[in-house]
Amino acid sequence: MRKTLILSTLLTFATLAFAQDVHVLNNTPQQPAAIPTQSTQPMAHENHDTQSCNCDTQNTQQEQVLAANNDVRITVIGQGVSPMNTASPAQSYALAKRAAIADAYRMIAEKVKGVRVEGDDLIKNMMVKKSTIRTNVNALVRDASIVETTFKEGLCEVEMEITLSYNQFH
Amino acid sequence: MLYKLLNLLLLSTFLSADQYIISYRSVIKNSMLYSEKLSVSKSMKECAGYYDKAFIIFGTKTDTLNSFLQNNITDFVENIMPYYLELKNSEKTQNLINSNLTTLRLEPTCFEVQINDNFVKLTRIKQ
Repeated sequence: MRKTLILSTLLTFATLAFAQDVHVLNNTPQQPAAIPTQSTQPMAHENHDTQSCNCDTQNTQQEQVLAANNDVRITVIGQGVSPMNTASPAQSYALAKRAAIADAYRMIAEKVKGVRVEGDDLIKNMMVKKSTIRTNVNALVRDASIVETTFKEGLCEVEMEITLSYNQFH
Repeated sequence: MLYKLLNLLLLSTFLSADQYIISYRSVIKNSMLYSEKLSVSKSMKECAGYYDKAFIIFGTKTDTLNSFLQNNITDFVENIMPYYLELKNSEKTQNLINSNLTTLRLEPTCFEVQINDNFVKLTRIKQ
């Protein structure tokens, strides 16, 4: 009887001890998940991402990205030169203004749509023989308006602005 | 009754406006106006669409609308700015020497034109 009691107590202790071991063993795989280094790295990445996102948003705020209920006004100054052989100062002014308007349109298109840039360099015997850069802009521009025109010494400057609203693109 | 009808007919003839197709193109080379072309022709069929905001160009009356707009082309160019203008620009820099060519173009657009003694009223018909 005593022996059975002792055996039973030993067995219960043994089972308890095993259960604790198992519990410890069960906890051990969870430890890596609880390791802060492994879990915080992605978090750190996420934080970095969010920081970069914040930076992006800060940049976009600087660049005035078009948002809902928020208009963006773009102002440019186009320049045009009057030709040498004109009949009158009025004609030279008119022609220079025409050129300045087109230049202002180009600048608006460059700002809104962007520029396609191509570059070619020809190198012969380790020397640059020919260097060419080509830029292209193709756009349709609407609702631009002239704010101010100045004409001085054959150079006409046209200040032009365009207001972009969110509804125009969505 | 007849008098009223005649009056109405007379008024309608006075206020009648013709429809014209107008297109414009200017080429600017190295920041100088290189060429400019304004094409005006009467519309051969009635333009369908709705009226846009009208604008008025003041000037002395001429025989044709083409000559009137040629005389007042600066005003015309400033007034067509609210419409879509097609812009093509190409710039080339070769061995640090730059040259550029810009084309600004208003595609053939239908206008309703009222010609008066000292001004012309143009209303674009949007397709």
